[in-house]
Amino acid sequence: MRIGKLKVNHYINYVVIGLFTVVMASITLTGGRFNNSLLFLMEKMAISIILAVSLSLVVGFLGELSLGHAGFMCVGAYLGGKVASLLVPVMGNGLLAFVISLLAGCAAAAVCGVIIGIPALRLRGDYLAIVTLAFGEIVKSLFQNTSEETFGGTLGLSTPRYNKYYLFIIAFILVLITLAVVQNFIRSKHGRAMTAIRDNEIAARATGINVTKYKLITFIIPRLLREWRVYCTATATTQCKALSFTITIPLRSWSWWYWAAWAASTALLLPLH
Amino acid sequence: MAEYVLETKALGISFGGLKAAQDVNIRIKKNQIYGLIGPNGAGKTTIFNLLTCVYKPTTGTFYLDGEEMKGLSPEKINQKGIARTFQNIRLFNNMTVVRNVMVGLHNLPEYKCTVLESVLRLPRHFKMEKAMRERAKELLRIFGLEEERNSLACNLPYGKQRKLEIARALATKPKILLLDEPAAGMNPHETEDLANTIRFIRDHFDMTILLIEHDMNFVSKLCDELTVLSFGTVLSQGDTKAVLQDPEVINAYIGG
Amino acid sequence: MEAILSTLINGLSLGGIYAMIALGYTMVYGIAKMLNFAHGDIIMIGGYLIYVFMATNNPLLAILLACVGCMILGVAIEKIAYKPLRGASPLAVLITAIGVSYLLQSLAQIIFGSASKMVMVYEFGAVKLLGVTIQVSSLVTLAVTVVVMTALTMFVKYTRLGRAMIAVSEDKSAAQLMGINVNRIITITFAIGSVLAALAGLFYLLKAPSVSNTMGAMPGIKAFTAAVIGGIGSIPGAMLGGILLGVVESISYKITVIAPYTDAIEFSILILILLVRPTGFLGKKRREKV
Repeated sequence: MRIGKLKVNHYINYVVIGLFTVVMASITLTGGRFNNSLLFLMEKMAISIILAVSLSLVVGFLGELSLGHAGFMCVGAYLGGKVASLLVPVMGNGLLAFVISLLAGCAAAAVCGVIIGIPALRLRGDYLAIVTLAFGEIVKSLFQNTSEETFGGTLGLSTPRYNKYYLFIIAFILVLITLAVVQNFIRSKHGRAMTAIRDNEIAARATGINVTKYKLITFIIPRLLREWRVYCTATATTQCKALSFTITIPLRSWSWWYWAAWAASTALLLPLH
Repeated sequence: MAEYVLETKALGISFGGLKAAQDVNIRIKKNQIYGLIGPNGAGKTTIFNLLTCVYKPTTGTFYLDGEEMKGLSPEKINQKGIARTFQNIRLFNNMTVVRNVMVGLHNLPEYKCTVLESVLRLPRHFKMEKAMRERAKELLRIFGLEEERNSLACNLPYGKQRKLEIARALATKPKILLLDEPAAGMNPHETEDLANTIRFIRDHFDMTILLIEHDMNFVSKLCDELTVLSFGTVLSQGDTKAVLQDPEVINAYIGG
Repeated sequence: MEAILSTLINGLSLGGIYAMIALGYTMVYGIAKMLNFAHGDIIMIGGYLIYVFMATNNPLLAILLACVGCMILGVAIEKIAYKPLRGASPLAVLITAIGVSYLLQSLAQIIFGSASKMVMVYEFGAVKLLGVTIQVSSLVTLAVTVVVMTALTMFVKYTRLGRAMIAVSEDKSAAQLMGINVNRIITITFAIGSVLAALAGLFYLLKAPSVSNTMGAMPGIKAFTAAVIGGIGSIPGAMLGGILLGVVESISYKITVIAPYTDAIEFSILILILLVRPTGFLGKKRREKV
């Protein structure tokens, strides 16, 4: 469907979410306060969307199974949380501290993505899945065995809590950014390159597509984006527990995201084409 | 510009004990249509795979336009100037016809656009997209595929799929085009059409072409020079007419 | 010396358990071409079934009934959850498998509660061998796993059914065209895998007599990595991977300095092996013809 030169499909996501954010934000900024369950719901919504969108990039477009989100998210969350707990006493519990620790977490996750990605992408699909899974377990094991001061050990790291009434606004802004990044990426020649790789890797190589570069990108970008999600959870729940990432992540995480991803990405992938 | 567009020197590869190709020396001049023929299993596609760096040679090497191509990946060799089609057509089946060709334009310097520019939707992105689409349409027009440009590649009839594969390969602006059994599965009329297309490509795109084929009629009418492979080694080489009259070739391949 | 021998026996018996679970994974992967993530939870169900059937006060009967129960469960899961998805994308199958895993864990929690239950199957005691005290249960585990693995290898190699299974794992459509009932083969594969899982559950109980609803998860993941190390789809590979993993784990536990990092070490080894041999030790190198 077209309105003038614009394809409505392409932009409808932004409009809907943008409108929602603006409405909710204006209520909050003018003094209204939502109750806890509504806040929780909205945070969860934002988180699910970010997760689903970034997952659709990895799974839908590259066609690879990645089970190892746990590891990278864990690293990002812990590091981001640690930076936050170091900054807040100094800078106060404000937006700047939040953003800095968010970026720190993202950077950490991205770096891990590169380190694991370069060797791991040489492996075939199933084996890639298992390597990322193994990485997740390793990370969990390492974090759980640290001392109280560094990363909290088995009880988890306590992180400062961002003002809960405003958190969801930030979360939704991140949703919009995530959407923009992923959609713009896919609807460009790079997205075409990735579809080509998924369709017929040998032909893609023969046509000059730098396959390794694109595989790496799809490895890293979602991890980066997911960090935002993770970070929001961490700050929303005050505690960044290794437990909440480990026992739940290998068991719960797959199903949770894939459920979210499945539902959401089906809906999203259609306009995303 | 070197004397030969493509030159191989003692090119060979062994898989364990099996010598799939041995001591192959081929020299192709610019704008030639060069034929690589031989019985099934002689090693023709293997040579193609060596030339497109899908396999690494165990012996020998080859030169593109005088430059030695050593240790490159398939994508790099394409960027250097060798494009190919496949024995079993390898199109991007779930993409439209026009998009298939646009993928071919991906790495050309005139359409350069970084990931960041695309994500941030800078004006460069829009300019490049438009230019690529125009160029792709132009290529499709040349091959008579413009009508179907928005159909999925897998829905095209066989003959048109072959043309699309060639169009995509040409989009990458190669120095030499490798065609692997382009006439396979075609009736005489389609084969005639294809021969004309190949001649057209040579003239219009100033192209050099290396092709593998079984159809002797096709080969004798189209190719300037031939190399005949048998069991991985060169049986005969040179001017088409002469090679096809060589008794050894007739014995091994064409039949009495 | 004493430590080495007991660690080794421990490692081998643990390895045998992993090998059996890994066999289930690898057979299902090779024949039905899917990764059954619910496999680890069948171990847990096996454990609970033994707990339930111990009410008969006859350990052997309990074990037998548990095996049968798991077999029925495995086959049922295949028929209900996996068969309808035979042609679907691997992702859909993966999600379903995870769903089944979740379902089993939750069901166990609902029925038995989340506290772990004590199950004393049989008090084997210890024995002195070469001056070293060894748990008889370890020896029993070791013995049984060796027998099972030998039997399975011979079955696959020498019986008609076994050969049919290999045929299906190589090329399902061709096997079908040769008159092999692929559905039956897949059902049998799941049945065998589930029985192996039940036995694995038994051996875990011999080691540590308690069941809980999450007891299958970690062994499942570890056995999966063992199967991958050995080359997924390869039966000898699963055995090799399982034993290797068991020995490594046992050694790692013994060295108190690195004991807490045992899991990390095991998974690191997996990654290292895959970097060197991308398809596992005995895995098939699938070359796509260009």
